[in-house]
Amino acid sequence: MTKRWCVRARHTALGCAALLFWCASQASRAPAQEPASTDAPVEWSASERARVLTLAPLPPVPDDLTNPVADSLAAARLGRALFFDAGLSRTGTVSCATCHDPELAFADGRPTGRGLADLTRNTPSLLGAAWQRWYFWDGRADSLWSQALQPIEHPDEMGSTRLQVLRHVAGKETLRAEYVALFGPLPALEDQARFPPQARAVPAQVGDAQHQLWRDMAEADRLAVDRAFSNLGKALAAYQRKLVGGPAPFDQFVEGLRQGTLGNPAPISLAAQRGLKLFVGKADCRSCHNGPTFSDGEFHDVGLPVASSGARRDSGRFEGIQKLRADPFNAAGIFSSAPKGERASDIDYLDSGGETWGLFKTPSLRNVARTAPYMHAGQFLALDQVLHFYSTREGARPAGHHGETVLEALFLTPQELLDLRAFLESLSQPDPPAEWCRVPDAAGQ
Amino acid sequence: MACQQPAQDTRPRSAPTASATKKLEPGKIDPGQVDADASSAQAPARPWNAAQATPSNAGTYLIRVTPAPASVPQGKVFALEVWVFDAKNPEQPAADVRLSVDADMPEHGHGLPRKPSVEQRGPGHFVASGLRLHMPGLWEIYFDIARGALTERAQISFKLE
Repeated sequence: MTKRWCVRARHTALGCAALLFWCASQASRAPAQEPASTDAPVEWSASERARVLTLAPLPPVPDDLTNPVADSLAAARLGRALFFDAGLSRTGTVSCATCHDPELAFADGRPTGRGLADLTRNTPSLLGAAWQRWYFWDGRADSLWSQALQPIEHPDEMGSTRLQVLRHVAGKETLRAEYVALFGPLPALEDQARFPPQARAVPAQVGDAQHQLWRDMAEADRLAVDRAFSNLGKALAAYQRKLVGGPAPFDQFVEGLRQGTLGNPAPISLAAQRGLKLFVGKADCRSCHNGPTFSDGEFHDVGLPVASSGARRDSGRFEGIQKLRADPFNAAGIFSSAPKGERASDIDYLDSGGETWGLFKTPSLRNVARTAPYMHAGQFLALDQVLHFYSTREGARPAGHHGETVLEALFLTPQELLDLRAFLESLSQPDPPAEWCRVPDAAGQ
Repeated sequence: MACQQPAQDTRPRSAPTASATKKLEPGKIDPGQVDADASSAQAPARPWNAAQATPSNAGTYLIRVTPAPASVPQGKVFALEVWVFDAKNPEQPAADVRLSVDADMPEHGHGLPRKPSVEQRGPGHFVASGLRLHMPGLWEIYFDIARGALTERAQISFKLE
């Protein structure tokens, strides 16, 4: 089968501006530090080669035993319809695709997200989301489906309620038919005495009118609504598991290195190869960005500068663990189809002490060149600023109680910084097949 | 002189130990040495035979751990089976000890992102679950052995590639 790819290069105006500024500033310094030759072939020691081989290929999409429709094509199609449907939001103006725009590598190109209101964290790309162990920057969700539910009800994102969303599905013939075929009947929403038009569970907001309506519902009805709501999340997850790009030039390079068939020219430039050498060697980026996902799947404090405004610091993983444990939709809960599985048992082992304060998830680096701005709050607008930060540690907070003490200034040369950027650019994958990158047509295909 | 074969060897054959291939650091006790003791022939099977042996830091105890932590792939969740012995009695696990397990990356200023749980399976016999070494680099695995009010640490250090 021939797949069509919706490839689209992207440069944000801000990113380009920052890049031009950086390039201009480097140009005046570059000649003095330029190596004698930049066209010499890159040699790989046995240990470098072994490290590089751990970074590709991506294994198949991992199973999600908590979601029985994870690999259902029908569920993925329903999930796609929901993903692009602004009717899920309170105002009818915001869909999942508003922030996770297929034209922008399923991110939004903004430092921090904007749904119904401005948000405080950077919108992550959904490309390759199925490989992640934890979701959100603070890891407060432990499955793709439980993640998908939260923005729908967040007042600053889509601002809806689970009752409103289920009514929307029930009222749209195609959605209702697909839902019923997959999951069986919806709750008896037409009985407004039992099922109010709006209601959601927000236990943290005592006195919230919609939470009061939720509490007034019969327990069995709340359970039926939660189950149907979780089913929508599972369909959304089945869709997001389709957001898998084709092999990156880097993947082709690793395959060539493995087989001894690199060819000439190799799939990635000499600059990218030198950058890769730094990545697994002197710069030791692979310490956190390891494996084919380029992430250790855990949480760190890399000492990002604090805002000069003195704004309240984001607690990151500290609150993330508490929210995960309180979430009825977590992998150990009654809506999970593997409540005794490995994902569920992981919750018991989490260390929720003060040392988790201010830690944020190691993001994947696949497609990183397409997903500016960077860091959990969009602190850096362009990739070169990120590399500059790690190279110089300029503005970094000293490693305190829980910071990464291994991070030290690398003092990379301008050429080395360019090489690292060339390597990171080689991690850009062709987009997923076009059918998963757009709003379905009238036939729902 | 040629080796003499025993006329009839009815001794139970113990499982081969890792002692032939495993590199032990100086000062560590090779479990194979215990195996070579003729008196062991009559003893019941000892499941710790193939485990990595490490003395505690002040020499009071000997722990045996399997699998060898350094052999566990980076990023995989794993469990360690641990037996604790008094150093003076390396044949019989110590009955009156408690164990806790943790790990640290001294070069990074942090350890594990999870707290391993330790379950006692028998006298001096424990299983520590939920470990995951998420990064390459120098790791120190700590086995804190408590008896009464006194705790002594045994430590296995290795560089994970």
